Amino acid sequence: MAELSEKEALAKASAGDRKAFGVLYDFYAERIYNYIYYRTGNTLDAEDMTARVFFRAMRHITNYTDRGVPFSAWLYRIAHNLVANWHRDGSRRQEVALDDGYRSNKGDEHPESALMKNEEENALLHLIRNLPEDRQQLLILKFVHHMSNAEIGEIMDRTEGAIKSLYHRTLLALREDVLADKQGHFALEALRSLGGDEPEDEEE
Amino acid sequence: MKFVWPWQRKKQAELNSIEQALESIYTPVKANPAFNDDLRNRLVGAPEVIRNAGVSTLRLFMMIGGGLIGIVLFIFGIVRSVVALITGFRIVGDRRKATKTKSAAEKAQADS
Repeated sequence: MAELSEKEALAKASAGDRKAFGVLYDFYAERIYNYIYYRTGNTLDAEDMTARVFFRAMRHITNYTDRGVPFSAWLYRIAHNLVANWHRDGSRRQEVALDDGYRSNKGDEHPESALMKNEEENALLHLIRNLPEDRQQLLILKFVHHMSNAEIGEIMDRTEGAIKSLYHRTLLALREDVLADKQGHFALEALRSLGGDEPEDEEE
Repeated sequence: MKFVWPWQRKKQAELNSIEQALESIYTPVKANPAFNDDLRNRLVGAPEVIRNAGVSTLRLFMMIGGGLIGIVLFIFGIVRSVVALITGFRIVGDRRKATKTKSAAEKAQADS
């Protein structure tokens, strides 16, 4: 069963083959988990919603018809809808911090510099959380899954050009937010430590 | 390579910095292996009920029809028992009346 390609597994799973669905699960479990983890910010909700995505997909896979939209796009849309409902259910969830539990260790950093870096990252994540949903989705697909603009476009139902434009606007918005960040230290420290100059007021 | 105007260099450098920061933040995370295995078992080893959760139209009609018949029979049963109760009371009442009439007649006969 492991040698099944994604297409074969999809065809068999659509016909009700549960083991083939298991192969699809192996293909996509980590990606969907990562997507939800970065959208919710904690492992518990990520696990809960990942399970719901796959159970929902299994229930409806017999209705799935290949109309040029890849299966991954279908799964991501289920995940996106669940996350959107989750955010809609309670605005209190906006401020949940990212768990460090399963995040990969980035090497043998000095604890103090690691702590500072962590603070900077959390500050940037806080700014990212205030971005519109589609922009957050774009960043996750681009940086966590390393997808091309065309692939992201298929998932988000937009053209490649629209994704490119949205990405550029997202970067500009983040830059504005970083510079305007009232906490100040992030704007200065983060850009300095990453090679940028000290921010000043300047033209667009 | 993308050409950047001199007056845009600073802005471009900041955008590059933000991109680097994003790359650093968005590192793939690993799900708990126990969770992964458990979910896989639940999906692949799930009972048929989950897979066939959709009810066919025929089954749906049969379920609704069965429910309606059940409700009609239940109401019929209640009406029948109420009628039986009323009939029972009437019989008891008639008997009492008959007994009273009989005893009154006997008393009148005895008096005369």
